Amino acid sequence: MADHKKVLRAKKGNHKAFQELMEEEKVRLYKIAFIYLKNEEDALEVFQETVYKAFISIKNLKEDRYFSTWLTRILINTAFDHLKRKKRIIPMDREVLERKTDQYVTDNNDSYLLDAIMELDEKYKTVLILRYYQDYTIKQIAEILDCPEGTVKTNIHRGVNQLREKVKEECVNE
Amino acid sequence: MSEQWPDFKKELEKLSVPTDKLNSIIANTIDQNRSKKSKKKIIIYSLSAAVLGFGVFIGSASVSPAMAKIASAIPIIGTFFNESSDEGLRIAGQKGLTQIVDQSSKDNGITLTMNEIFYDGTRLTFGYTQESIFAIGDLERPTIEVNGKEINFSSGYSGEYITPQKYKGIMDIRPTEELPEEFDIKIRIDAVGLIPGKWEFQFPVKQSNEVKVVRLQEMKIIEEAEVEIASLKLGPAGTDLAVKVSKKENNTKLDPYALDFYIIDEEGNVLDKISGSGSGDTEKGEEKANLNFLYSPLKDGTKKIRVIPYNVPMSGRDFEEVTMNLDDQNTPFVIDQGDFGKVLITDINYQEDKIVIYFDMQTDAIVDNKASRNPIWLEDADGNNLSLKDKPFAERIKGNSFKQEFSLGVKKGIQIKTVKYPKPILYEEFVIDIP
Repeated sequence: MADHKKVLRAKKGNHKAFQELMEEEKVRLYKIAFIYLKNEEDALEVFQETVYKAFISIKNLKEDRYFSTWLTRILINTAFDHLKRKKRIIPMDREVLERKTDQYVTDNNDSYLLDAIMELDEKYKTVLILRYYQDYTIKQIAEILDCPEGTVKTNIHRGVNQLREKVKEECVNE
Repeated sequence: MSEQWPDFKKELEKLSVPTDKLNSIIANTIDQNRSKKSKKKIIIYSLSAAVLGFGVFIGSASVSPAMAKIASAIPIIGTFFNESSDEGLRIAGQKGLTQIVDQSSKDNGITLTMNEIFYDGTRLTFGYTQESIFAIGDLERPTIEVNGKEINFSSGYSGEYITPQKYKGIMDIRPTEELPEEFDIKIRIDAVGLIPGKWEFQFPVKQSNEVKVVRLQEMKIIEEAEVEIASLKLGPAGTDLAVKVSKKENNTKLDPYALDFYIIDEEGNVLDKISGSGSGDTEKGEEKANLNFLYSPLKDGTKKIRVIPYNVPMSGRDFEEVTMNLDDQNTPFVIDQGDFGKVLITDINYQEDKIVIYFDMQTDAIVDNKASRNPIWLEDADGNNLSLKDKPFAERIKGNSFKQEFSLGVKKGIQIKTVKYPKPILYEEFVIDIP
């Protein structure tokens, strides 16, 4: 959890405090971004946009102790926007596309599970990351995603099942 | 399904993370946007010396260690600014226009002393010392009350350690609104570096009575925006230029905060820019910005000046670096600065512990006295920048001829470097008669 005093100082406009906070969170944020975007270039872009949004709006953060959750919410929303934008973009040349796909497949080809996580539907991906990577409670996740706790529970359950199916498929295909 | 599966943490550990790229994204994002931290309040603050060696000239609130090389001696009351490299402060110090405060405040093992201040209507500058067992970081932005009312301002800091335990600093305050000629000031600092605490000072401030104010009623249209010089204040310690910019919110041709100004006197001398700040607001689709710039003082007897608005086009990308190895070069040789022009290196003088480079700027762009917009610099074979901390800029000899000193260690493998700088776009100038 982020240091309260540091968050407070960052809110007051102390850039050094903000920088330190972001450095503490960067690995976590980047990994989540990567899970959504599936390649380094886009993940870095989403990361950059998140840092920017956090920087210009940290002064509006109401509860210091929610800094990490607030940041995660910004990142996830930014990743969604980015994915939406990408969907509107005309597909790339096959060659470029293959290069991009290779980039992440080769990076992680020893992990069916990681590939399977990345292939999950976004709504499941989100709740599973928040629950099992971030260790947020169902209540916290419901707050971040602004949806009822029941929906969070259902999506976690379905997500895990979908994940299990995908891992099974991958093993069989192999 | 147990919560052990899926083990996301273990899986995500397998992802490689480009930490260097993430660090530079964080640093760059802060650097490029720090000035915009408050929409309504302060937008930019820059100290001209902060541009040394970087290809980027965006306003920043950062510490500028080079701005004021202060006396390395333990401060003696009443001479705090006398050795400052900031010409205006030095003049003020030497003319005895500063005010001695000598008030200390101690908390958490850190003693802050407000030694001396200077206020002449163009600038409000505090000279302070910071003493602690260990070297600690910068002062946090203070809260300032004038006659009991909190004021909004931008601030810039510079200074140096005289001993590892003693830091001598200068804090430049630019209030967003004009301050009265005399007032009571209360300053509260909540943190020094990472150490929180409470340091308070309270004392009266009086303007030194030597400021001439010129108010103009002239407006120019620049990129469909209205640009007006609100006032020009001429003081012994500096020249303050206040500009009002008004544009339609949807006019993307001009970012008011990117607008800059050269001030040139009738003899063609370009005044050094010491700092710049801005604040603004958007009302009913109209963006209104107030910009303030502080320059070195005008020479006595100046009758007319030209104020030239300009803008440096930014592509958002890093500028291309140009490198030449000094081992391979015989003077004279040319180093290319892209659109800005060329630099003709006329002579290189190797001395015992320093190198002096003499060069001519071959450009039709305006070059300030320190060539701070388009610097060249040297790096040794290990990539260390050889610029001198206390003299980080070139010095104009005459016309467009300059010289600059660098430190010298190993002579072999020294590289001369610059960047392909964009050429500033100049707009129609204001001509102002000095009464």
